[in-house]
Formats: sequence, structure tokens, C-alpha cells
Amino acid sequence: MTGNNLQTKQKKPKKNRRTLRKRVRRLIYLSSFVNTILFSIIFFVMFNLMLYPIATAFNKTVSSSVAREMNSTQFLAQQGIQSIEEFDPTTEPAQGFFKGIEQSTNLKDFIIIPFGLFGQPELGPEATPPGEELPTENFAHVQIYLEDQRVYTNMPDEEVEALHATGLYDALNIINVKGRSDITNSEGESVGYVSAVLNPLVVGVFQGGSVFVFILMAIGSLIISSVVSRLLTIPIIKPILHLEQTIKSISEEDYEATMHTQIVLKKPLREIESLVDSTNRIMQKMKGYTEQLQDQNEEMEAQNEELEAQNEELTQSKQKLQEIKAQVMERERSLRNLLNNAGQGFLTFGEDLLIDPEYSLECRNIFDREIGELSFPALLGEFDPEQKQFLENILTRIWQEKDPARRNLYFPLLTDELVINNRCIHIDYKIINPTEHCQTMEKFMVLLTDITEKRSLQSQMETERNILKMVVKVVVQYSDFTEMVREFTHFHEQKMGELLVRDDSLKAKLLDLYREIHTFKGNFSQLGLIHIVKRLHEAETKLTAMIKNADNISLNEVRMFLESLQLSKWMHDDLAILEEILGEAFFKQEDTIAIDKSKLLDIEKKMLALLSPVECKLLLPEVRKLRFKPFKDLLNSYSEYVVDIAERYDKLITAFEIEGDDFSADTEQYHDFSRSLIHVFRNIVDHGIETVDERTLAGKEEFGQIHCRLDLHKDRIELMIRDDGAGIDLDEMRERALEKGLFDEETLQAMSEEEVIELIFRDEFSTKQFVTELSGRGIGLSAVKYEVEKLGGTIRVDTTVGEGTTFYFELPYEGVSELPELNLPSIITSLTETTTHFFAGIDLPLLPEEDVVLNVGEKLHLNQVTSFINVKGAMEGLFVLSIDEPLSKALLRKMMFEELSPEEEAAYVEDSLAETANIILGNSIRKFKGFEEFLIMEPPTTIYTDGASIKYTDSEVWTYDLRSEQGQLRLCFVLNKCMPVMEGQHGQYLNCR
Amino acid sequence: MANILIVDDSCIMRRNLRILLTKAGHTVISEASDGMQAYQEYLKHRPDLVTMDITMPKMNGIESLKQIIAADPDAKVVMVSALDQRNMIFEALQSGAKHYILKPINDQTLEVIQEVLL
Repeated sequence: MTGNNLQTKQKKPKKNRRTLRKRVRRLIYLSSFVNTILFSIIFFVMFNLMLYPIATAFNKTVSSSVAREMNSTQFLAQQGIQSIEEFDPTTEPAQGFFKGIEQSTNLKDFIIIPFGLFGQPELGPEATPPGEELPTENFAHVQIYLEDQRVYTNMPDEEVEALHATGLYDALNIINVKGRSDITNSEGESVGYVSAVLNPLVVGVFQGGSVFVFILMAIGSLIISSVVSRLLTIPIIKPILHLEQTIKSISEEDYEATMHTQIVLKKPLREIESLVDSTNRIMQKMKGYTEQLQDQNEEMEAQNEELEAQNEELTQSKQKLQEIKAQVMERERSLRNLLNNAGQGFLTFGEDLLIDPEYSLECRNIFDREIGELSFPALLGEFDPEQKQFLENILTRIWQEKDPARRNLYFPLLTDELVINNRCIHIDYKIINPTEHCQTMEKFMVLLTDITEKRSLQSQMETERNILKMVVKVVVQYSDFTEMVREFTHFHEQKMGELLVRDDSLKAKLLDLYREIHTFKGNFSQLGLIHIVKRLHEAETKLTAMIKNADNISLNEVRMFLESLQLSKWMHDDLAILEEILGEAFFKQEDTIAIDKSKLLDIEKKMLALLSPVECKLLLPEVRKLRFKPFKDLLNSYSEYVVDIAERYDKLITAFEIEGDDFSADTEQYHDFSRSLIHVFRNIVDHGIETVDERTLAGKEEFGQIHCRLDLHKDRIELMIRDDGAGIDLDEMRERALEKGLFDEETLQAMSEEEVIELIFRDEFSTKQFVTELSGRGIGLSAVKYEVEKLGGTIRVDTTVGEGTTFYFELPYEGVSELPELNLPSIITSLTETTTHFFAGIDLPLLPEEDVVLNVGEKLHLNQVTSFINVKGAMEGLFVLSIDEPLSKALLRKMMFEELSPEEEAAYVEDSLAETANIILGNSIRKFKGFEEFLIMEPPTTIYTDGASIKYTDSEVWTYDLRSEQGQLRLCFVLNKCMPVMEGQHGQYLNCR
Repeated sequence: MANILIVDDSCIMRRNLRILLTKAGHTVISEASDGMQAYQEYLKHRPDLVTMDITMPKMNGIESLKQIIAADPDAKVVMVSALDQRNMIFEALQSGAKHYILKPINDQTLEVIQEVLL
């Protein structure tokens, strides 16, 4: 049962532990209770069942005993009656009989109840308390009926009635069957009967008593149950609960605490004990496992750490490796880059003459393929078969020869130039010596440089130069050129044919031919017509051969040869070039050609840039002359102009002609001046020439006369413009001057005639306020004066009132024919003056240290910052400006409009010196009139030249030193510079340029 | 006021010009140090005015001027030169330059620029 209980308990885990106890208790109670009740009921039923026969038997017994008694003769005797029918209940013996019955049925005899209960001393059954209250209950209700008459009853009817009322009587009647016994008379006839029945009260009491007992028993069982259950609780429930708690706490991960607690129970039951033991063992095991697990965990962690550490190391070393790899790759790449971008082909090969796979990119470009592992001589041999064997031999020889000196003998013999894939390649050879780390053997290194461009450029330049020379010469000696062309045409069209049919030996004819051609060659070459010259030369050569072979050739052959030459076409190329450069207007069969002035200027510029000074000097003037136009052209338009405006002013003027010398001049130069003359003419018309009426009055012709004359003297142009007008009224001038507030009366009176006349050239004096569209400077005659003075000329005015005014202009005229001679000292002087002036102007005064020094072939020491300006053209030289750094900084500061930071200063210093050099040189040259157009200044180069010096061999070096507070300035001019060699601070030689 | 392109191979000149022009209220929108660059910058920015140095490497001022004028006949180019380059100035004027400034630059430069801009 206990087991059952436990099982049922497990099905209800949710309920709290009270359930267990309760259940246990309840069930125990229930069971015992049920047991008790069942027992009680069963007993009760059995009792009652048993009571029936017993009651019946008793009743019968009682009734029969009484009946017997009554039936007995004794009774009759006692009663004193003869027969039962005579029984009289009222008699005394009957009464005594009844009493005896009563007594015998009295309960008190049968009750062993200690009368103590009733508060009386114990009495035995025999005791009969006198007259006390005794239970007068009879245990049986006896009734005697005689002849249907109740004669006796030991229980009063009232009691019976009461009993009946209770219902008990009836209820008990089922079991309490009346016993009946007959009373018989002597004959044995039933005269009555005796009924006895157990006193239901007694039975009732029995029943009730037993019930009471049963109830007591039930209660007792309950109590016992509770005790029992309590007993059960202790050994079973408590440990179970404890177990439950423990396990619960384990489950809640509090195993640390619980793990170490063993479940200890007091007097556990065996099963519980074993459960506890098992649980303990399990816990032990778990503890053990946990510890194991922990250990393993720790181990694993340790291993993990180790692994991680190793991983770290690995990663690091991997990283390092990668870095190194990247570095290596980087190095390789930059090296490769270097080689590849060097624009030169590098390749190496060893003794086997096979090209190593590491060669620069350029090689692939040059050879148009990969050249690794190819044999070097074989490779080159593809482009020049002869070279292959030769190269092999030499290279092998060099290899075998260990003595470097002897090796050097062979080196120059190696092929140094080759045309590969249509490109001109220059080849250099070197032996690379082994170093400790790389190869163990020597290697050949070959450098291939593509000089195609350089060559072609060189030849291009050469061609250009030649073309230019040709053009210039043709243009300049145009008439010669045309004549030459004519002659040549004549020759191949006519003369040649005549020559051939002449009556002479073949040899003589050939010789003549040769001579003609030779002459032409000379003539054309003078003019620089290269193409035709070349052809003539070829023809010459062939003719020479023919002449040698004259005996063996026929005239026809010669003729055919000449025809094959196609001489008519020879001029083509050269003429084409000339046309291209000079324009289509070139080569009209006249003695004049029309060339665009811009083209001339281009030519001039090119000449300055490309030709040597000597050539420049010779040719430039000629070319420039071409730009010159007749000076008169400048003044031509004025005639018409004058006539025109005269009309507007209602005056008459005859058209004039410009008399005097016809000469050409650089009309550009005089352009502004000539334009400004408009004011003069205008003035003449406006103020000079009077109206027709006035003139008539004055006795002059109606038409005003203007004379214009040009005279050229050696370096002077004299222009005279005279009118026969009214002249300049000096008084009027004075008045006007006064009006305009230019001078006061006194000064004006004090002025001389010339001075007064000069007033007309003042700005304010222009009578008309028109804005000139010319030079934009000044108004009216002041403009003329300005222009004249700009050219370096003079104006003079003569006037006679009433008769007219004459303007005399004197202008400098540049000698076109000759270039001014190059006077270097004067250039230097100009340079020094300009320099001093310049630096003084920017507040950095310089003082000369010595006089100008001329050196040839000695070293030129430079200061810290130097600017070089190349000068080309009529003169070729180098202008050098070298200054100390503090001075250069001071210079920079003066030149800048604002403050600079030190970094900016460093950047701009060179530039400032370059600018300065530019300005100084430019201004100096400008001082040489006419020179500037023959020179070109290249942009300056500036470098830091601390402690460096230059050596110009075979050059004139003019030096001038100046000094300021901030440092020294060295000014140089190098004439006819050749390849200078610059020596650095420590004596190393650097190639400049 | 106006957008100006400064062309000169000397950074000092460019700097000074820039200062001068900016002070006068103009905007220097670009600079170039040779003729090629000048042409490119002109096409890129289309300034109102260009100051063009004559002597420059790669392509000088005259050439550059010609190119610019070819691209934009209305371009306003002012040549900047030292005195010795008279004939070049002349050629420049022939080729379309509107005016010229002589070095060293000063306030007169500004006047010229103003004149040209109007």
C-alpha cells in the first residue's frame, strides 16, 4: 500500500510537499477508517443476524421456562390451584410468582456494571439495595396470556407504549421475534401462552452500545493513523523531500553547494536509503564528472591558449612573410621599373652568350619579341648577318681574356650601332664583375639605346637649316636664282642636245657635259639647292666613269643616259620647297617676288635661332632689307587727305607730291610717326592755309600750296613740310598761353621766338579736342613731337607770319647694310650699368669691386645662385648672373609685392634671379640700337651653384664683380661658348647643358 | 571684377601680377607657365582677359596668342614683356594682342588692363 501511495505521488509533481503528507495521512486515515467502518458494519450486521436466533432462542427459552414452570405441577401446588385455568393473578402466590419472574428478569442480576458509575458503591448482583432506585428494567418482556387474557406483564403498558412510540420496538421486531410458549393444562391443551421478548431497550442498548464502541474504535483508528502516518513521514517523506530539494537545487545550477553536501538521513528506510545512496553516488559521480570536465576544460583552454598563441605567431610570421614578400616584390618592381623606364634596353649574358631572362622592357620593344635564352650574336646577326660570326668570335675572345687591359682592346671592335626593325640602335658593352652576393661569375651587360629619334631629329634640323639657307639665299639673290634656273632650263632643253650633236669626239663632248654640270653644281650649291646639287653630283660621278670608258660607249648610250636622268624634273623638289615656304606668289618669272611680311619675320626669327653668328651677320641684314618699303609710301596718302579736308574747311589746296630721295626704310618703325603727321597736315589746313578770300586779299593764290620733301643723309632722314599759309602768330600764342594759364605774362614776354613756337607742341594747345585714334598719347601736335622724339629725332618749326610755316623733321635712319659691329666691352659696360641701375632702383645698392676682367680658358667661379641666359643670333654667347644667397633673398624680397613664407622664399629665389637676369640683359641689349633685332634671348636657367665653377675652353669670359651689403654679385658674359665643363665643389666634373 | 588668366614662366611675375590684380578687384581664375598651357587654360576658363608673357619655354607668348586668337577672335590678350622685345610686341599686336605691358609691372599696368577691359 505504501508503494501504491508513492506511485500516486509521483504523478503529481506540481503539488507542494504538503500533498505528500496529506496524501499519506489521508490515505492512511482513509484506509483505517474504511477498515473500521467496514468492520463495524459487518459486525453490526452479523451481530444483528446472530441476534435473531439468539433472541428467538432466548425468548423461547424464557417463555418456555415460564411456561414450563407454569405447566409444572409444582406451580399448581404453589399456587394452590388444581388447574391452570384457575390461575388467578391476583392471588398472592401468583404475585409471588410474578415477582419471582420479575426478579429473575431483572436486569440488575445480569449487569455487571459497576454501580460506581451511578455513584454508588459496587454491588454484586446479589445485592439488593433496599428501596433504592434501581434500574427496574427487565431484560425480557414477559407476558402471560391465559384464556386470551393477559394475566401478567412485567412491563407496564405505558412503557410499552412509549417504546412503541419510539419506533424502536417495531424496528427491532424484525430480529426480536417474540418467543411464545404455550401453557398447557393437565390435558395438554393450550390454555394460554407465555410470550417473552427481549427487552428492545436492552437490544437497543446493545446496538447503541456497539455503535458507540464502533465510533470509539473509528476515532481510535484515526489517531492511530495519524501516528502511523507521522511515523511514515519521517523515514520516507522527509528524505524524499530533502532529495527533492537537493536535486532541485542541483538543477538550478547550484551544484557547487549541493555537490558537496551528502544527503544524510535519520534512520532512512532501506529503499530511501538506497535512493539516497544512489543519489549521493550520482552526485558524487557528477561531481567527479564535473571535476573531470573542469579539468578537461582547463586543459582545453590551456591548449586553446597555446593554439592561439601559435596562431598568433603563425599569423605574425605570415604577415612578416607577406611584408617581406611585398618588399621584395616592390624592390623587384622598382628595379624593373627603373630598368624599363630607362628607355634603354638592358640585357645580360654569360659565357654561353645566351641572353638571361631578366632583361628590360625596352629590349622587347627593340627586338619586337622576347629575347630570353637566345644567343646574343645570333640575335644581332638576324639584322646584320656578317656580324654574327664576328661578334661570336670577339665575345668569346673577350671572355677568354682575363686581363682587363687587353680586353679593352677588343671592346671597341664590338658592333656599336645597328639598325634593328627600322630603328637605329646604339649598343654599349660592359662587363659586370661578380659581387659577393649575386652571381658567381662575370657577365656581359649590353645597353641598347634607340637613337632613331635623335638621329632623325639631327638630320631634320640639318635639313631645316639647309632649307632655310637655301630659301634665304634664293630670296636674297633672287635675280641670280632666276637666271640660274633659266640657264639650266636652257641647258637641258637645248644646249645639251646641241652639245651632243656637235662635231667632236665623244670624250670631248663628255668632258664638256661634265664641265657644264659641274658649273651648275657649283652655282646651285651656292644657293643651297641641295636636291638638284645632289643629282648633279651623281650625274658627275657617272659622267666621270663614262669618260674613263669613253672608248667603249656610243653616243646613243650617252643620249639614253641623259634622257634617263630627266633633268627637267630636277628642279622640282627644290622649287616645291621654295614655294611652300615663300608662298605661291614665288617664282613668277619676274625679278620681283611677293612674300608675306609675316613669313619674312618668321624667316628672320628662324635665322636668329638656327644660324651661326657669322651667317646671321651676313644674311640677316639682307632679309631685313626685304621688309623695307619706300619711305615715301608712308606719306602718300596725305595728299588726298589734305585736299579732302580742305574742302570741309572751305579752303582750297593743291595736291602735293613728295619730292626728294627715294629710299627704303623699315616702315614699321616710322609708322607711328607718319600717322602722327596727320596733325601737322590738319593744322596746316585748319590754321595754316587761309580761306580763299583771305588768300586773295593777301595776294596769294587761291589754292594753298604744300611742299613736302624727303632727304636721306647717311644716317638721317630729313622731312620738310612747308605751307604758304598764314604762319604762326606769336602774340596770339602768347595770349592763348596766358588764357590757358600755362605761364604768366612775364615769362611769356621773356620767351624767345623758338620757345613760343614750341608752345604749339604742348598738349593743352591743341585747338581741336578730337581724340586721336593713333597712338593714344597726347593730342594734336604734341603727338607728333612725341613720335619724333620716340624715334630719337627732332622737330624744328620755322614760321613767318603771313608767309607760311615750315616743319623740319629729322629722324635717325638705320643703316640696313651693315650690322653694327660687335663691341663686347661696350656690351659689358651696358650690362654693368644696367645692373647697377637696376639694383640701385630696388634699393640694393651695389659697388664695383674691380674693373671688368677678361679671361680666356680659365675657370669661372660662381656664387651661390646663378642664372644663365643663352644669347643667340648675330652674336652667340652666354650671360651669367651669379649672386650670393643673402643677396638673392634680398633681391627676392624687393621684387615681390608681398611677404613670403620661408618655404615660398626658397621656391621663388631662383625665379627672382632669372627675372632679374632677364631684365638686365634685355635692357642692356636694348641700348644697342639695331642690335636687339638680331639677337634672341632664350629663357633663363637658374640653379644653385654653391662653390661650383665653370671652365670655358676657348671662350672669352668677361667678368665684372659688384658687392653689396648682402653679398657679392658676379656678372659675366661668355662669348662663343663651347662645351663648358662645370666643376663641382669637390672637384668632380659635371657636364652642364 | 574681371576674370583674368595670368601667363608667365616666372612664378615671381605671376605672383606679383596676381597680387596687383587681386588688389584692384579682379579675379585671377587661372595661371599658366608656358604657351601650351596658356592655350589650354584659356579654352577651359574663357577669361575676360589674358596677360601673356612673351618669352616662355615650350611655346612662346606669340605662338600662344595666335592659337588663342584662332580659337576666339574676340579674346583680349595683353602682352607682357621686357623692353627689348619690341619687335615681338609688334608682331603680337599684329597677331591680335590688344595691348602690351612693359616690365617692371606697376600701377600703369592696371591702367592698361582697365583700358582693354572696357
